[in-house]
Amino acid sequence: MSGVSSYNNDKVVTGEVEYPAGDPASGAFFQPDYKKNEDLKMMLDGSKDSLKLEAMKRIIGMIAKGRDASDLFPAVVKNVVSKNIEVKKLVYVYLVRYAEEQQDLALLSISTFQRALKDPNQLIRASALRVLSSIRVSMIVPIVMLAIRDSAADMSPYVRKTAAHAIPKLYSLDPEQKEELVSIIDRLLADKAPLVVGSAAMAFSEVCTERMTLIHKSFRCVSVVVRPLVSVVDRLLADKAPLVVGSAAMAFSEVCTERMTLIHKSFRKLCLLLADVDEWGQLALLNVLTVYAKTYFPDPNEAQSSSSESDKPFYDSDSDTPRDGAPRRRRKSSSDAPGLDADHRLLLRAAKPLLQSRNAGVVMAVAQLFYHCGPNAELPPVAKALIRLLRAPLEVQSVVLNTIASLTVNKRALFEPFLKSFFVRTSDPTHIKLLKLEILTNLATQASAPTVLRELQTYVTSNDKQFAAATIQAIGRLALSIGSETETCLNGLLQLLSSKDECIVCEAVVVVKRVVGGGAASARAAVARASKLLRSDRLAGNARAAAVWLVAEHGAKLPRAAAVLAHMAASFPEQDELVKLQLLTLAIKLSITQPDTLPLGQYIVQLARYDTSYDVRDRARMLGRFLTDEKMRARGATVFLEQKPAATTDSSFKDRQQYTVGTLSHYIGAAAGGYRPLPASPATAIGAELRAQPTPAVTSPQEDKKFYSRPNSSGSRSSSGSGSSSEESSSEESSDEEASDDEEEKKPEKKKETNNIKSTTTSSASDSESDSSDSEESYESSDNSDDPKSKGDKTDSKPTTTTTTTKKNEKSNLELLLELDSVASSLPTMTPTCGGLLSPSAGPAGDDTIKPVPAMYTSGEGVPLLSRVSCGGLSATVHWTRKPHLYGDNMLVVGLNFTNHNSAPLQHLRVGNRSLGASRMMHEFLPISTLEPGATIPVTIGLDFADSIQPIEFVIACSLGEFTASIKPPVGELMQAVTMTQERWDKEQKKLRGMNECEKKASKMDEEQAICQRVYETANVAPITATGELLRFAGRLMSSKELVLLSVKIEEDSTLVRANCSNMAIASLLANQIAQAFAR
Amino acid sequence: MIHSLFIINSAGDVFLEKHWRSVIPRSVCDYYLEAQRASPNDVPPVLAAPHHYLISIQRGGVALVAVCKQEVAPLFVIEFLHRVVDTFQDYFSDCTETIIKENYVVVYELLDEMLDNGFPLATESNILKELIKPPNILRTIANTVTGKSNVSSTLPSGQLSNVPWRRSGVKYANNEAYFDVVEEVDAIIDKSGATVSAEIQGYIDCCIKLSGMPDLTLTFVNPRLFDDVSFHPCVRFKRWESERILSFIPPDGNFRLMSYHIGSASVVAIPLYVRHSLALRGAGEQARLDLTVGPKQTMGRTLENVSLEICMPKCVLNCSLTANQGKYSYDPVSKVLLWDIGKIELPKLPNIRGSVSVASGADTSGANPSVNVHFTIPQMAVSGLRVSRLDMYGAKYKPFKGVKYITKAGKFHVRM
Repeated sequence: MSGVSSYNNDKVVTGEVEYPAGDPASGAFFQPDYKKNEDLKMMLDGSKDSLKLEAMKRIIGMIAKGRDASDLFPAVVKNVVSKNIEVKKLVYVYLVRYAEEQQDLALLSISTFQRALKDPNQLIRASALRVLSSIRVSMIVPIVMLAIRDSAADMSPYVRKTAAHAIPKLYSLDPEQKEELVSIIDRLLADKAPLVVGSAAMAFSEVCTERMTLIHKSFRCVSVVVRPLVSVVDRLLADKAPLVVGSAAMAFSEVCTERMTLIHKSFRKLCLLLADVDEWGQLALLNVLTVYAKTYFPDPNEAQSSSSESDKPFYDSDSDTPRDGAPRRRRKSSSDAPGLDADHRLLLRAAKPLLQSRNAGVVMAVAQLFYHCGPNAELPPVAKALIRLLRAPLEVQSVVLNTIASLTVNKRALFEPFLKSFFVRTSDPTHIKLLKLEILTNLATQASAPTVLRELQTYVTSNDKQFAAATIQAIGRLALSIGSETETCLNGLLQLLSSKDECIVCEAVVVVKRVVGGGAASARAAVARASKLLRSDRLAGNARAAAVWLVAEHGAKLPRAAAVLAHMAASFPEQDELVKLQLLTLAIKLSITQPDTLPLGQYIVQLARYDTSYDVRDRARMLGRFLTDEKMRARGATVFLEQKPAATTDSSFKDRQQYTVGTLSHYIGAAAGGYRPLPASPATAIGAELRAQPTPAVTSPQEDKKFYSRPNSSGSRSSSGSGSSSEESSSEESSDEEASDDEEEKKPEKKKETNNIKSTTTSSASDSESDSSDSEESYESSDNSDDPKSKGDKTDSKPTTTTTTTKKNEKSNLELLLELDSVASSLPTMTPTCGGLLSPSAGPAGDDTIKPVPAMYTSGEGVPLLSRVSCGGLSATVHWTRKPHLYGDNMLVVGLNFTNHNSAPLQHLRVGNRSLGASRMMHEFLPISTLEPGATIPVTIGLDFADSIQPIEFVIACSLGEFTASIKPPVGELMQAVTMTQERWDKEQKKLRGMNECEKKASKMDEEQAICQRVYETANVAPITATGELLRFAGRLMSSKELVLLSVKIEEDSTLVRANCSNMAIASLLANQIAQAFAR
Repeated sequence: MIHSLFIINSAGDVFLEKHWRSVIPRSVCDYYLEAQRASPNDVPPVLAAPHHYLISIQRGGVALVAVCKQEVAPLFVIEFLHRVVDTFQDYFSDCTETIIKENYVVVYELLDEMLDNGFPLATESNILKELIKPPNILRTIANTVTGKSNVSSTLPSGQLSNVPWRRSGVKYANNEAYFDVVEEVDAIIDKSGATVSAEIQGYIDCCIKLSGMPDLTLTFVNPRLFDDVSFHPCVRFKRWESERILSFIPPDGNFRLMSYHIGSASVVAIPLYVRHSLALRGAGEQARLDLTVGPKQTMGRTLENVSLEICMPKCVLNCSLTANQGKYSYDPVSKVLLWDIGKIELPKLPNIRGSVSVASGADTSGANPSVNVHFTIPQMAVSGLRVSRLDMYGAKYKPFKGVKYITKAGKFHVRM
């Protein structure tokens, strides 16, 4: 309580008044008072949970407010062990925020997380992992790595999902971990729980995106990942929780362009799945599919470009509108034109229902797909959906209007029917008004121009000056673009010239200048009005310059112009620089067209020559020549009075078209970081046969699927479907599609019944194919579809079996159990309970494996085990054979030599009682019936030390009695020599940094051979590189199969021994031993 | 993806920040604040700062600013931010600065669940509510007494199920399902009273409290009316396409089932007219205003909650008016004349008239005030939409069912 009261006192002292209310929490929220932290510390140090919670809440308040709470770190970290879940959660939040700044202290919490990772509650395990991986401290990378690896094999799919989410985090922390992460992703991708797979795929995409630049380097790894990814997608398709596919889609969106080949196999299923994915996933998935479609399908509009009319330039024809409408409708009726690839059509059809999504982002993604990859005839529904979004919140409106504004530049016909939806309301914010105005201008045609102009007229009088000015610009653009309206517009603009509002007048002059510059007939009237304005001196700089230009350009022949010039000459020095320049031009032009004004012109030039601005002086000097020099004057007309081409005004949105519709870059009109443009579409469809390749297998919970709007699947899709399939009259694609549908639908059902599915499904598929198809090509594709499949199965299963065996050698027991999954997955059996199909997972490819090799050196000499003195004449020696035992490759073969030093033979020599620890094992030797005096009998026993140097004790019994023997293995014997490629060695070593690494300085040794010899004597390792700067050796532990990497670096005056092993004890022992060996 | 989120109040103070990846200093918000200062009501939703992109929304007097570092679909972020605000409203019944400050702990926990590493994790409110219990007084007291927290210690079932919007094991003593069909009329009426554009924007909001896993179908008498629709994810689109029936397993509680659009292509009944005369030019510094509102095409229903919001030109200094019904107020700063009429009961037509004082010498020529009209008409859907029946499968009990129709003014705009 004292804490609280002192806190209140402080508040009075410091005069903090922002939140003087009684609630201490909210008060603390706004209190920058540092003394107060003392009592927060006291509260945290106390034993009451409620106080701790209160303190944590206040601290979170400080964080939320952006106040620095880092000095509380030690007090907070302690509470990471709290039993109270809420306190714990808040501590987690705190840790994530400040761990980066307080790295050393953050390490204190790590062990708690490691414990929490083993909590029985999946939610706690998951959140521990989430936080652990969010702590951006590079020192803990190995720990996070380990945690991810363990969690990836967790029982709970939720935890595994979290593990997948953690992967990108770790990756961003330490990109060097990539290879290891990829292997984990690999495993996660082979997961049975859909929830996990999606996230795994997401992680994959995050981690591997950059890899594209390294693709040559790590090609093998990529290919390793590719296959599981595809199989994941398969599995996702069969997934009960479409929720999951969302994460998967995000993954793909990150992978993107270069990886598009991955999607081939799963493309059709992804399309079918689209509608069931959660909205965020749909968004990502659509983005991916758009890129895919753009990469592999030809532009549908290209093929029909002869009949394509909606891309027509904006303003040319008069009969534009009626001509536009009719063919569009006609084409729509035959929209399943043969030009479109079947898969392309499938995609578009699947995406279409998503236009009805409540999520504006999804609608926009569909619009993006249709705009970039769809035929023009399909666009009207898209336009309709976009119009619907105009009712959404302002921010959405803004983005949508932006998109529409850019679409209308060359797809005007699309939005023409919705012209009225873009009428401006006074309540709209300015930027919305401007966008609407832009669209209205783009949309206006001959027919609609009067309506638009009438609207614009009301806008001109708006209170919003910026908007009014933009309206005038818009009128100008209309005048230029629609020939029949030029007169009306110009009249309106000229009227505006006499408005009392200066801004409007200025804007109008600028616009009139542009319009008249376009060669309008009413130039004379415009000039008259402009000159009147100039005489009244009511124009601001810019507008005045424009007015002068106007007079010079179009009124040079009029006597009035001379009067204007004379009037302006009087106030020449006070004019703006721009105006001066224009006046100079006017003077020259007048002197050419009306020679009697020559003196006036010369006067102006004189004035300009002594102007303060060097631009004006330069111009005067140059133009002055035309007044003084006779020859130049003769040429004057050709220089100054040439006909100029008419001005054109383009929408400012035109240059946005280079960006993909609906992207950030498109909105801001510049390439955002990480923007990847869509590829150009190919001339012909690519990869049809790749897509036709059916993915290994799917079990889909059909009931659920049907229930939950089996995607896109309009009635026509399902083979059982109604007559609507006749809609697709084009035989080629319909047969193709139906066939693939049949395949998909029959397969799962069949699979549940029998193991022998392959033949049935393929036959059924080809049956249905042959039933419905009448074209050559679909036969081909059907062949393709079952051929690669069987092939694929073969090729798939082979690597799997080999890799599982190799993998088996390097994984721990637990992992071995889990590997059963991957073994099982190579079998074509189904577990009906799990949603997903087990499809083959791939291990690392061929030569990158770790191979055990025979020991480099075996010492013949034995170590005494039993001495003849204490054992009544029986002696035994131990030697390490460094061979794997027959009965289990965890066991070391240990040779024993028994010698009878007595005169009488020994009877019945055998192993008696033994005390083995947990997980330790022993395979004893066959009992020796008699040991003759003086004889020595060698036997071998198998010992599994479980990677520990703790001695194994056992009893050797014989006729003399029982003797206790104890075998303590040198650390170097606990391993088995293995070889691998040097790259692999380096890679593995990178994974075993940090706490898993142990370095020792040893005395100087020069000769590499000698070093190797010493190393071989000490430890059973194999050389990877036995020459050069850095000598590399590798072995692996007998029981856990963890790698032991040893390197010896020869330095100036010493050698550096470094051992890496995930078992830290082993690493340090080994390094010590080697160092000692060198010292010998 | 979303890196950080800042919540800013209308005064420009960042009062909450949350980072999902590395910490981005809050000074990045200056770009937003600058834009906000320049024009408080006109901040573009996407701002490009040198190294970041700020995507923001404004709701309930607070602005949520998401900071991204890379190319991302702006609508994705905007949609997500709106979902965040929706969730707050769902939890705390409103989303204002004070409420967020009061509940900052829950807010922080929610944000933590909704986004992981910049990717949306759980945005369905029923999953969130199982993870983090919404605060209420009873629970607060119970928590203090029992020492429990409002953070769940188990994983909600919905997370792994295929109906993520509904949790299992819902139980009610009274099973009820209410549907509100709300239609909003958007219109622009020009000076002469002609309709420039008119559209109907409708939505069906539901309050469904049913036990178990009910499967509902909603049928309309005249589904052809719909021009364009969008659905809650629970609606089976296929059935809608083939039979024009809404078939769905509803989420628990309040949600928007569908929204639809009846475009300018079809004729829309305008239920109200405004007769106006504003003579600024004639009388020098004294101008006259005369406004009359009357019903039109209301199908016999009464107009309720009628109010007019007139944005006067800048030159208008003050108004002295008399209204024969309701109250009026004029804000000389924002130049908005508010006339709250209430119910229109025939034959008396509400009228307001009087003089308007105009700043001397001001330019009155270009001024064109506009009127925003608000009204509601109960028991009528202006499009004529009618629900024909509601069927329930998958549960044994008989629920109470109810449908309510309301027509409202949306952006109903009269130019003067």
